[in-house]
Order: sequence, then structure tokens, then C-alpha cells
Amino acid sequence: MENAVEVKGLKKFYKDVKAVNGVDFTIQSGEIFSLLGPNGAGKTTIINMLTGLFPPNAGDALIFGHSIQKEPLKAKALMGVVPQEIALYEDLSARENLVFWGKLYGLRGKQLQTRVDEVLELIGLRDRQRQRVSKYSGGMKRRVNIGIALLHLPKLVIMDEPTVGIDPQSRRHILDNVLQLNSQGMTVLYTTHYMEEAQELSTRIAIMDQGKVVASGRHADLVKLVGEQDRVELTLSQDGEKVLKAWKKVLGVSKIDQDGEKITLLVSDSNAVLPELFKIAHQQNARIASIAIHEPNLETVFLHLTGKALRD
Amino acid sequence: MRKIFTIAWKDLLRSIRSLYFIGISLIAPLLLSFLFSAAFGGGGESTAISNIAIAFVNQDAPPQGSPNLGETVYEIFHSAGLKDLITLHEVASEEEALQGINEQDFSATVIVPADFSQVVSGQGGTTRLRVIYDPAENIAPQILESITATIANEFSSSKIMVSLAVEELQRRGGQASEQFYTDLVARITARSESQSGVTSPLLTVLNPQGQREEARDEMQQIISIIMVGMMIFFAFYTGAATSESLLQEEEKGTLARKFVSPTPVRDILAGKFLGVLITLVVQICVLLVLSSLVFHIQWGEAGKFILAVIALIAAAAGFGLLLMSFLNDSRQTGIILGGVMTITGMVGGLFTSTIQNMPDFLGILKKFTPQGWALDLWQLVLNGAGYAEILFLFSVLLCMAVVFFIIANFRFQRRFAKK
Amino acid sequence: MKRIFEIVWKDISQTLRSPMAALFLLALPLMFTAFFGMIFQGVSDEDAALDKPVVALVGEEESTAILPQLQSLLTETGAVSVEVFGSNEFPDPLALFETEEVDAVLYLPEHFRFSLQDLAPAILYVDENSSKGQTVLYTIERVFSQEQALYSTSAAAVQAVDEQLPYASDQEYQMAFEQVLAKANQAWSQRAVTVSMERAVTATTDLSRIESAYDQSSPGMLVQFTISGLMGTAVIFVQERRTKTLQRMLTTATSRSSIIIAHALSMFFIIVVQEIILVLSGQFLFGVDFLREPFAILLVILAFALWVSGMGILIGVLAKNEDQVVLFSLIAMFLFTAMGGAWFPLEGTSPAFYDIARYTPGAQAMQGFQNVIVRKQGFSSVLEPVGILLLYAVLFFSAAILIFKKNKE
Repeated sequence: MENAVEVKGLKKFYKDVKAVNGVDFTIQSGEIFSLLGPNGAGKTTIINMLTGLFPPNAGDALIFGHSIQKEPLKAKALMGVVPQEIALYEDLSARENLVFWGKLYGLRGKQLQTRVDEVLELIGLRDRQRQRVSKYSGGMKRRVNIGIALLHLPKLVIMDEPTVGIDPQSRRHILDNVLQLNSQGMTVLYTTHYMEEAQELSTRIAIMDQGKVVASGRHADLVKLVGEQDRVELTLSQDGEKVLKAWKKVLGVSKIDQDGEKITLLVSDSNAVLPELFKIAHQQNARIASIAIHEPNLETVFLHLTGKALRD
Repeated sequence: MRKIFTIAWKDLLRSIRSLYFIGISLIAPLLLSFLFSAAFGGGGESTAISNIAIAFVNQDAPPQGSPNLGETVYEIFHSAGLKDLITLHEVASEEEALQGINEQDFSATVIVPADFSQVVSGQGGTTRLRVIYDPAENIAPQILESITATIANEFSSSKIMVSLAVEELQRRGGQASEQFYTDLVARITARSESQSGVTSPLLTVLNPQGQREEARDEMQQIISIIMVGMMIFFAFYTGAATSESLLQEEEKGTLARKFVSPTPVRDILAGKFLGVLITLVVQICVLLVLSSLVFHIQWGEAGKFILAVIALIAAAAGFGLLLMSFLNDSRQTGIILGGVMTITGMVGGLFTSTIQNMPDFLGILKKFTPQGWALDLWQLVLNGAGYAEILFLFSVLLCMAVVFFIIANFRFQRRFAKK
Repeated sequence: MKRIFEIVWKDISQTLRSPMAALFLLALPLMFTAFFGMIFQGVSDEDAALDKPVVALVGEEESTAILPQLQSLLTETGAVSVEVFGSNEFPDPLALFETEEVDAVLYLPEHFRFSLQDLAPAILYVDENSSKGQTVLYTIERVFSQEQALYSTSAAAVQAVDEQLPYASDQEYQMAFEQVLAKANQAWSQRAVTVSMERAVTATTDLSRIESAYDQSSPGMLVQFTISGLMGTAVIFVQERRTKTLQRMLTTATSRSSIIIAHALSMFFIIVVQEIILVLSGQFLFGVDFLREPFAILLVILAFALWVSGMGILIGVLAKNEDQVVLFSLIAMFLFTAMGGAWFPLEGTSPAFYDIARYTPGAQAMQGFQNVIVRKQGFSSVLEPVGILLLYAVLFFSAAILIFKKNKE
């Protein structure tokens, strides 16, 4: 099967900050590939390099065989990009926006008009196509934002955190769109920091942290990395520094991470470990205010690989 | 090439739909032009100014049996020829007249002194017609000085004529009879009537090329030059305001979206630059057509006029793009649009184009602004200067525009490439 | 009341942090005042005298006798300097423009006289469109008119004598005429009636103070830039609406009236401070005698600031974004400044325009300032302009409040 995207040794530095520090991955044609990681992991920087917004400091990437460094225009012609922020001309109508961007992607005449009609139908805005975008709701604007990326029937669609800050109904709509596009043969590169999205959509996932890909593969394979470890999330009613120190020594606890009040532990067998945790807390006069136990998932994997929780 | 025009056309469309753009590029200059037109009578037609209200004080105390020449002065001011210009009010005293000036009922007062008739009809002596004017007014005093001086000169020359005639007669052994004096008075009257309103027929005025200048309406000239000043100011303002879209698009993300499309950066920039140019073309064309129709401004020979239009559009667009290329974001444009444009417009002479005798150093300072060069070029066109002079300024402006474009392009290319 | 002052203080803090406010409120008005003052000083007689236009006088052989007299007459005006050339030196008078540094050439043909008879006229070659050319034209026309008048006076005197006592021959007649003409020229310098131009002043005016060229530009620029300063102040209103902080304010126990009063107060305060700084700059930097009647000036400042802040509030409630604030402020500035007489004297306008413009707020403010600075009048002279300004303030505030209350935020 043809590779849609091949990323080789991509690097991007800003002064002392290594935003992307040598990243390699491959996306096969026809799959949905997610880049999962917290804010600041380097996901958007990789997208910006692939789409030609920034030049990489090192490395290269091929989009259906075209180098982003040597053949940027050919590479771009094969991509459709849905940026994280809505990028539309608010004083133009939805139709005018689509026509303009379609022209920039090389569509002309009847072909352009036909595609615009089809996209308007797809995003459900046919009846309001002549209205200025400034009059649209946020969800409607997002739909136009996505529609622009699909006009020229790209082989690869790149969506950079498209569901940030939107209501659940719109989010569901977007996720359904992604699945539908993929079912029609489009390759999708999707970045997110929501584990559930990555789990639901992706054929394969690359987990990123601090500019590197720490693991990649199918969901089932990634989860296997943490074995049968459970993820325990709890909160203490007071400062628990001494408690945490003691818990680190408990057999079966492999990782502890604290984010404010929330404490996350990776444990081999929650049934065996929990009583010990409670005992130590009691000895230290600390009270466990809440507790939740999760079976291994991508969050668990992230915690296992990086020692940190996958935070919003 | 197509993508360049696609981007330019989109920018023009957005500009035309923007109330701000319409306001600043068309409504503001036209509003001002209507204002000037209303102020100065519509251009090309009667440009009568407001009537000057004058208080007349006749303090003349002629010798017994002699005519009151102060009343003659009053009659002259009250004559049909000056009725459209002056409204005359007879007042009893200088104090009353001054009070009227202080209360702005009068622009000035003319005072005939007590010894007026005595000096004019007697032997020797001098006297003064006093004009006391409102110091806050500029035009009325000048007009009044001119009229009063003419009247004073008429009396003076008449007196000289009488005394010289009598002296000559006596030199030849004759006696000045009553008939002689009557004859002299008749000659004085005939002379005044023949000379009134006649500009010197003994002087022909030609330009330094030896050609006769067409008679031009002075007020029309003033309106033309004011219109040119405003058109240049708003063209440069529009050039900068339209260029601001580069920064706005960068902030809104639509510029980045263009960059990720299969459109070379140079085409994107070219499209934006072309958008600025086309917007300016639309603005200037509308302004020129309307000003010709409404104010009857004669723009001169077509070839010269087109050169001036091209130079203005290129310079305004280039300058605007240059300025925007130095800004980080659109929040700084207020200072550019309001401050830099106003300052360079001021230094370039756009607000003082009708003032004569400017200090030399201001003329030099003007050359540091593209607006100053544009104003000089348009003034040459309006005055019918030759192609040689016009082409020189046209070339200078075009060179400026090219340099501005090159620097702006360099800065924007670097800005978008360095991330 | 406390909430109002909190909002006022917030507005002022925001304005003080804004570079645009500093530019429009202070930097630009000071620059413009200085600039226009320099221009008006430059057009004074003193400076113009240093750069007199040069006129080349060229006469054909039989006219050369008149050249010295004409040179003397033109030089005496003080407006031009004159150089005399013979026509044998320059057969083509236009060549003088290329070889000599002259601004005009006055060519006298053969047998030129200042007679009204049908003789070949003198030719003046000059660029009428330049300022020097205009000076030359005006000066020469004046001298020609004067000489013509004396010529015709002398001719009439000799004709009258000839009627009474005929001359023996044409030659005697001509000699007599030449003598009478020479005497007429002499007598003219001591002529009977002259004109004196005096400024109207009150009895208490300090005449020792020299009129400042900035007397015209300073109040005009003050009016212009007080209005344009709205670009920096009215924008706060719009920004509040855009960032939704206005809506947030409305969810607190703060009434709409309080909000608008607070914004108006902050604008008023800033404008008053701006005006005071400009007045003091005018007084101490540019020599404008504002402080001869400080309370009168203060009254005008306050009334004008009240109207301008009313207009600022109106712009704030009408404009939907910052660009529109700039647009409306610019239009207001142009409109009220032009109609106020800050750019061109209203007395030079058409009667209809004058009758309307003189009652506009800008014109009333100008009148208030000019009554004190230029007309040297006292406190009572500003009462009428102040009254009219207050009426305008009430009008603009009422309109703004009406619109604000109707707006759905």
C-alpha cells in the first residue's frame, strides 16, 4: 500500500526550545492517523511543517511521494487543511468563501461551482450559502472551515484539533464527518489531546510528548505496553507529600503523577495495592477524598511512557 | 497569474463592502469637497463672499460755504458698484463704531477726519482716512484697504491736478477764473469715470514662454488645489488602510490558509499588492469623475493627467505597504493611519497648498515625503506645465513606488519565511 | 456614584496606556501648531522682504529715458528689486530668463509712455502662478496705475491751461506737459490724502505686546485636535462592547445611565487636560496671549470639552468597531474644523455658508478664543459662545443617551 505521509527526522527549534526534536512516522494511504499529546507536545508544529507554513530545521517529509521541501506546491495540492482556529472571511458569504478558496486550489468554472454545491450539501449549509459568515453560529463557521479543506477532493486531510472548545453535538458531527471522509478513501491526519477521540477514530496513533514520538501503533498494541496495569486516580483531603513518598515504595505501584489535587497512579493489580494505599494514608492522618479506577487505556499508556498524565 | 487576480479581486470586493473603506476613501473626501464647494460658492459660478458690514463715521467739518467731501466719500462707498460687497451703516461716533466692532456687528469702520474737506480743497496739508478693523478678520481689512486707498488716491490726484493747473496758468501769466475751476472739476469727473474699473491697458502680461495665459477663475484654482490636496491625502490613507489587510489576515489565520494552499508566497503577496493598487484605482477614478462633474475642475491635458494618476496610485500603494511591513500587528495601525499619514501629509504641504510665500526650509522638508512630490506633480498638471517637467516628477514618484514595493516585498517575504 | 468614578478611573488608565491617545491628544496638536505657526510667520512682510523677486527692465532706444524713473518707482515700493538692461544687450527679452536670475522681465517698446492713447503696451513676462510672480504683477500694475493717473492728471491740467491760454506750439505744449508731469511725481510723495489701517482694540489693551503669528494657528489647531483626539478616547466604548466587558458591566448593579455618564466624565476630564496643556503650550512656547483672561479661557475650555465629550459618546454608541470610530472621528474633525474657520476664514465664504457655519460648535469655540486672544476682549465676550456650546452639548448627550438605551447589548 502506498504511503500517504512519510516523516523522516523532522526537527524544529526556536532558540533554546526544541519544539520538534527528531520525529519519524509513516501514514498509510486510507488510514486515520492521530497525533495524540498534551498542549506543547509539538503536534501543531509538525502540522505547520507538513503544510509548508514553517520550514523544518532538519529532516523532510513526503506527501504521496512529494517532498515538502523540494516540491511544496505539489505536496500542498494533495492536502486539505482544517486549521485549529476558524480562518474565514467573515464579510463574505459561505459560497463566496468556498469559491475563493476553490480557485486557490486550482478549481475553475463549472467544476468549481459543482464542487461548491456538493460541499455546501455535505456541510448542511446549502440554504444559507448566500448569507455572510459573520451571521453564522460558531458551529456553522466550523463547518465552513472544514468544507474549504474538502473542495479539491484532497487525498490527505489534515485536521488540527478541530473539536477544541466546541459543544458536544458539534463535536459529534465532526467526528462523524471524519469517519465518513475516511470511508470514501481519504487519508486523515488528526491531531488531538482528547484520548477518546484518538481511540474512536484512529487506525493508528502516535503519542507525542516534548517534541518526540514516544510510541506509535494501533490502540490495542499501545495498551499492551502497559500490560495489565490499572490507572488509579484519587484526591487527598490535605497536602499529601509524605503520603506520596510512602506510596512510591509500595509494591505494585509503578508510576505516580500529581497535578494539583489529582493524583494518578499506575498499579499492577488495584485489588492488591489499594488496601496498602489506604493503610499508609491512615497512618499519615491523610484522608482519601475520592478514588477512581480505570482499566488500561491511552492515558495509562501516556503516563507509563512519560511519567505524566495526559492533561487537558 | 490567475491566483494573483483571484486574491486581488477578493480584496477589492471586501473593501467595497466595508463601510469603513467607503467612508474613508470616498465619503470623507467628497464630504469635504462639498463643504468647500458650499463655502466658496460651488466653483465656476459666482463666488461672492459674505457682505462686509462697515460702520461709516463722517467727522468732516468743512469750512463755511465749502462742500462736505466726507459725504462724497460716503456716496462712493454706497455706490452701486460696491453694494454687493459692502453694507454701509452710518454711525454717529468713533466710540459707537468701535463698540459695534467689538460686538461683531461690523467688520470695520471708516472714519473721515474733521479736516478732510479743508485739506482736500485747500492749499497744502495732509490728512488720513482711518480704517479700524476687527483684528480677527483677514479678508475684509484687505478689501477695505484697497477700496479706501483708491478713493484716497483719487482725491489726492485731483488736488494735485488743480494745483498744478493753477500753477502753470499763473506761470504763463494767466488768472484762474471761476470758469477755469469749473472746467477743471469737469475734467476731474470725466477722468474718474473713464478710469474706474479699468486695469492698465498699457500692460500686456505673458508667461515666461511668451504666451498669453488663459484667464482663470481664481476661486476655481483654489478649489482645484484644495481638492488635489485632499485627494492625495485620502489616497495615501487608503493605500495604508487597504494594506492593513495583510496584518489582519495574518491574525485571523486566512493568510496562513493561503500559504498552505498550492499558491506560491510570491503570488500571494503579488495578489495582495495588486488588491491595494486596484482599490486605489477605483477610489481615484470615482473622486476625479465626481470632482469634475460637481466642481467643474479642469484637470488639463489627458496625457499629463493620466501620468499624475498613475504616479499617485503607485506611490500611495507602495507607501502604505511599506509602512505596514514594519508593523507587528494590526493594533499598531491606528498610529500609522492617524499619525504618520497626518504628519507626512502636513509636511508634504497637503493642508497648506493655497498659502503663498512658504518658508524655504518647508519647501525642502516637503521633498522628504512622497505626498510632497505628488502635490508638486499635480500642481504642474493643473497649471499646464510642459511634459519635460511632468515626466521628471512622474519618474521620481514611480522610482519611489518601486523602492517602496521592493522593500515591502522583501520584508514580508522574510517575515513569512522565517517562522 | 462610587461605581461611576470606578469606571472613570478605569477609562483614564486605559487611555493613558494607549500610544495612540498620546499621539492624538498631545504630540500631533503641538506639531501642527508649530508647523502652521512657522508658515504664518514665513508669510509675514519681514521674511518676504528678504527674498524679493527680481525684475529685469528692458527698454527699446526711445524708451530708455523712462527706465530710471520706472526703476526708481518700482524699487521704492520695497516689493521688488530691479535690474536694467538695454535692448541691444538682449534683443530677445525671454533670453534673460536663461542667462540671468530674474523672476520677471518688463519690456518697454519704442516710444513707450504712460498715456491712455493707443500706443504699444509694455509687456510683462512673468509666471503668474508663482507667489513671486503674483507679487511682481501686483506691484507693477500698481505702479502703472499710479503713473497713468499722474500722467492723465498732468495731461488734464495742461489741457485746461491750454484752453484758457493756448500754447504757441506743440513743442511748447509738450515741454509744459513734461514739467507738469515731473512736478506731479514730486507732489505725489507728499499727497494730501492717505489711509491708515488700525486694529480695533479696547482701552485696556496692552499695546506693547507684539502680535504673534501663532494667534491664528493655535486656537485653530486646538479645536481641530481636540475633536480628532476622540479617536483615542471614544474607542474605549467600542472595545468594551467588542470584548463583552460592557455586557458584563450591565450584569452588575450599574445602570445604563451610570455607564454613559462615567464614560462621558472620563472623556471630559481627558479633553480638559488636553486643552489646558495646549493652551499652556500656546502661551509659553508660541507666545499666544491666552492667559490675559484666564477665567474666560477656562470657561471656553470647559464648554468646548463638554460638547466634544458629548460627540465622543455619540460616536462611541454609533460605531460598531474601532475602524468606525476612526472614520467618524475623522469626519467630525474635518467637518467641524472646516466649518469652524480653523482652516480658512469664514468671512471669505459665501453668505449662506457663513450664516450656517458661524453657529457651529467649532466656530463658536474659535470665536470664544479669538475674542480673548485677538480681539483682546474681556470675560463677558465669551458668554455667548459658551452658551451656544452648552446647548450643543445637551443636544449631543441627549442623542447619545437615547441611542444607548435603545441598543441591545
